[in-house]
Amino acid sequence: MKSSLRLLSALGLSLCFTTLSAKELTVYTYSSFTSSWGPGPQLKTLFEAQCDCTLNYVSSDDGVSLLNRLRLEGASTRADVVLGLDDALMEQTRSLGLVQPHQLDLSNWPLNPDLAWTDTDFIPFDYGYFAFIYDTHKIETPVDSLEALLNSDASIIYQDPRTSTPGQGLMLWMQKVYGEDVHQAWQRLARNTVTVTKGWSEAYGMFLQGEADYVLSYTTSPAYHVVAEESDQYQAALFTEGHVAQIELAAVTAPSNQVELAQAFLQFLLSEEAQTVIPTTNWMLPVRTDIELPEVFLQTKPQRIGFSPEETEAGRETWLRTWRNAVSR
Amino acid sequence: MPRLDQLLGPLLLSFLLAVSVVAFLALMGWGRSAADMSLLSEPWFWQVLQFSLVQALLSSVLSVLLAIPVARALALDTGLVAKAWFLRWCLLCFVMPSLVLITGLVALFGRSGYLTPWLGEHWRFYGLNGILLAHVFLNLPFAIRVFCHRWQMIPETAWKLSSQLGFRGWQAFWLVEWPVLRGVIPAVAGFIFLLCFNSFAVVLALGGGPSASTLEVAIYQALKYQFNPAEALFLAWTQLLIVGVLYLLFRRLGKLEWLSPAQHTGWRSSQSAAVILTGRCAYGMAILFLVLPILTLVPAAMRVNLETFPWGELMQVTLRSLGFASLASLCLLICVVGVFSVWRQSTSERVRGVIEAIALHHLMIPGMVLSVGIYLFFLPYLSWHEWGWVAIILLNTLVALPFAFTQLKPAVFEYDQQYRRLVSDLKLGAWRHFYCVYLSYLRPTLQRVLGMSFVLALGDMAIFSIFGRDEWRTLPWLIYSLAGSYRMADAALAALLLMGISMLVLRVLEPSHESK
Amino acid sequence: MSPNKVGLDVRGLHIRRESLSWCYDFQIASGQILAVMGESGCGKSTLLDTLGGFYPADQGQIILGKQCIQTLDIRLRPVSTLFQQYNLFEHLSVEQNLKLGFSKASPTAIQWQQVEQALALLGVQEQLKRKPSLLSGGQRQRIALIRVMLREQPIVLLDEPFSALDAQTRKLCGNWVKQICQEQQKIVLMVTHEAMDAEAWADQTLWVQPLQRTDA
Repeated sequence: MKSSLRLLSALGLSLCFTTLSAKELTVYTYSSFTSSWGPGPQLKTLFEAQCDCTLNYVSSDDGVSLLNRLRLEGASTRADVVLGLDDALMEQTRSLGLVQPHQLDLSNWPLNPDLAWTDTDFIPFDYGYFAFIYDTHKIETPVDSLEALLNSDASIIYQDPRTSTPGQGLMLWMQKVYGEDVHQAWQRLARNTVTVTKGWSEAYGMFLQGEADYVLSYTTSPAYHVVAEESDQYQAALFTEGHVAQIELAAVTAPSNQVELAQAFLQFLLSEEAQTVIPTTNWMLPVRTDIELPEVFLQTKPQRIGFSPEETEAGRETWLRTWRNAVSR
Repeated sequence: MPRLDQLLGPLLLSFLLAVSVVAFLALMGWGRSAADMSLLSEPWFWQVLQFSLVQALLSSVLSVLLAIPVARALALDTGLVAKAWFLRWCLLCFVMPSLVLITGLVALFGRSGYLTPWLGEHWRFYGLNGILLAHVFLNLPFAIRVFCHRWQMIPETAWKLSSQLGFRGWQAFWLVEWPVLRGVIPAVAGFIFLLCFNSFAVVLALGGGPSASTLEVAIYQALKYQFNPAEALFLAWTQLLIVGVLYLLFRRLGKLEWLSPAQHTGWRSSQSAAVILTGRCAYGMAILFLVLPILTLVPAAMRVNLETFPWGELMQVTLRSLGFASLASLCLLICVVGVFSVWRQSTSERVRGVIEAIALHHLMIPGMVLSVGIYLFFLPYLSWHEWGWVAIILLNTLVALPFAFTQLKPAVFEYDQQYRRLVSDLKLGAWRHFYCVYLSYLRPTLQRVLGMSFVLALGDMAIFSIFGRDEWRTLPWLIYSLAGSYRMADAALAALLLMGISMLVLRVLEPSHESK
Repeated sequence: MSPNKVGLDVRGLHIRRESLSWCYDFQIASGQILAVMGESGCGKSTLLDTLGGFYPADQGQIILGKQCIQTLDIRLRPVSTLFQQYNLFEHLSVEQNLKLGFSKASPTAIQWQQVEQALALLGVQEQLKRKPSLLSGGQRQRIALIRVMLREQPIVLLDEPFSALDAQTRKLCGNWVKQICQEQQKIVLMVTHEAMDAEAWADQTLWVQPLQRTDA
């Protein structure tokens, strides 16, 4: 969802399946991952060079629709690997019985200790912190807290928490910061909201067109503008309350009949070569500690706040209702 | 009638009924999920309900009020230019794929629209404003045609009489014109209200967030955003009950004649210059309003970057859309001819009434509700991911059936009235009669019905939203996603293509006027 | 009627319609014309309807040669009728309308030749490619008459066949009907109001009169 910092819509790729090679691995993911500027194509080339197989991507619009699709297809799914769900969706996916244990010993990889990752079904492949991005040409002194943002009269674009993982991230963020008072906080946010988009790319596209002062994205989003456009015009506002993190995950689907190949793909995702590709194509942080990153990735290190996946799962339904009741006035 | 057809008819009727029964069973909670009643206590639900009703009410009132002066000018002012053209354009507007219009409106009134700089600081297109603009655009033409038809039905003698009696201005209006209009205004308003209440694509694209959502969109979101069947069921029930009750209510208000305005020209009272001028202004504004959003697509599409435009995908998506619409039209043809074959065989008024009810009952069930019912019913047994296309074609057929039936019924009735005995006497073979004589008689009507249903199916968003999937996007959904990711030029180009196809199909299938 | 010719034999045919009823007993030989006369509303058309199978008889028999035909389905009755109106499909051309009279809507060369001769004789050969709606009432009636007479059905029922024709054309058509009737050994029943018609062409005349009038 974050790779395509141009106006994008990932098209085409999902339509061409080739059924020639003996071994095929089908990976369900979100569309910006597979777009030509996303990590998908490079990872495909790298993996196919070592697996003697064909890697097929099938893409959905965003993370949440990915889950819905998987749920809908159930046992008849073609997917061997699902890539792009996040830690907030993890428990729901597991409880639906859609994935199987990865059977990897994660201590074999130098994973970032901050993630403290021990899950037996999902492996992380990148992570980032949600943040509001602003245009330095328009705003000289950005807000320094969520509270300040809500009190300001700045215009905001964010994503629907029912369809988009950043939207869901904002819901967790608001919930963590405001707790009992979140209903009122949402209403304050609603006053400043230009629109709520279905996915990340619409929101970011509108922001780049100058439709709003702030857009919900990631702390790593400015890195794209620095690396790809050599521009530091866009910056992430750091909030004193802390930031909610998103860990993007991959897992082997329960009905997969290519389990070994799927596990090999998960291992590949954790490999140094894959982890080197991901930051500058998906514009997220690598999960390994030994990856060399452009300077800009290292500038900000927000304080992490949030809920455990179990807490998220238990609270989601209520929180969603609170959100929609608050913002529908 | 061919033998095959005799068998087909009853089978068809049972099928038509079965679809609704299945949808109802699903709504009743047969299967696994029951409606989630807790929504009743949520302010969100009431907000959605209120917004659905308010936007439909405003849309229908605006459409009717604006249509009256235009229709009057069209019917009475002999000096108007391009009348026939305008009335045909109105027909097209009414079936126009909403995504074409939406793209045009965004290009005009959206954040970087051509007209936006003149609309002031506080102009907000997304939300109620945009929805009303789109709904009035889609329904005003329909109201204009109905009213124009009514005005033309006023007999010449009524005008002559009112002149001899010395009626002037308002007096003539109340005594001569108002009586013919009065009967039809509530029916038109009611019909437009229902259409707007069931509107999906417009609200989805122009709603702009949870504060401006309708039941129809909320059903879609409950099912597709949250995968919450219980909530979808509750919302579907609400939608069904409201539409059902309103439909039964409005049906008593009268029948609408609008596809063929009578070209009645007789003696008319002379109008004052001011009235004529007002009428012409209204006509001019209506033309501007109904043409500009579509015309805007041309300069918008000119800005397309030919290098990055997804030609391949557009091609593929267009072919797929054409395929869906053709199959739906073909199914509709089979359905409606099949239904009439049973209808004609029966001489009992009672049996005919039942057949008619079966053919028309889908009017009362919004396409979205039907879709949700069918979707949930078969979900445990069937992979919609694989079979969704079947549902898309069939439901588009069913949604168009009542329209096709009502359009064809007079023709079939007339045919039997005039030729039943002759056909028996000629002892033609069943197939020869069916193909050479009967179908050929119905052809002009069938063509028109098929043309319109083809365009409606081509523009379908609601049914596809439930059964479709990302990889087989249709043309409207491609436009939606292009516009959604702010590729306005690309969206405009694709919208022009959709518009062009629609016009072409209507043009090709337009009955020629050589006979009759 | 000469006994060795195939003819139509109507025996004790009882028909009832609303408050009226009739009983018919008559015979017509092949190649002969029977004029059916009577006041308006006396039941002439009902008789034709019953012979054609559009209206049921209460009892009695209709026999063609040795075959009893009143139980036959409409489609199988050897009858061809000229109705008072709606004889031509307005949406089909004159040519198509004419062809519909023949088996599989495709007349043999000989049949079509007969049609063309008749068209020329009756003065409507120019109208072949046009739609009936562009024709006058008289032209339409002649076209329909041609189709009815030239179809391969032994019994021909004509319901006021010359009503839209002027005196001269009427004579032309009547003579032609008589000629075809004799050449092709048809059995023709012709409803008419004109005593002149009956005198000129009919071999027999049948006066239709209801049996009784029970007030409803």
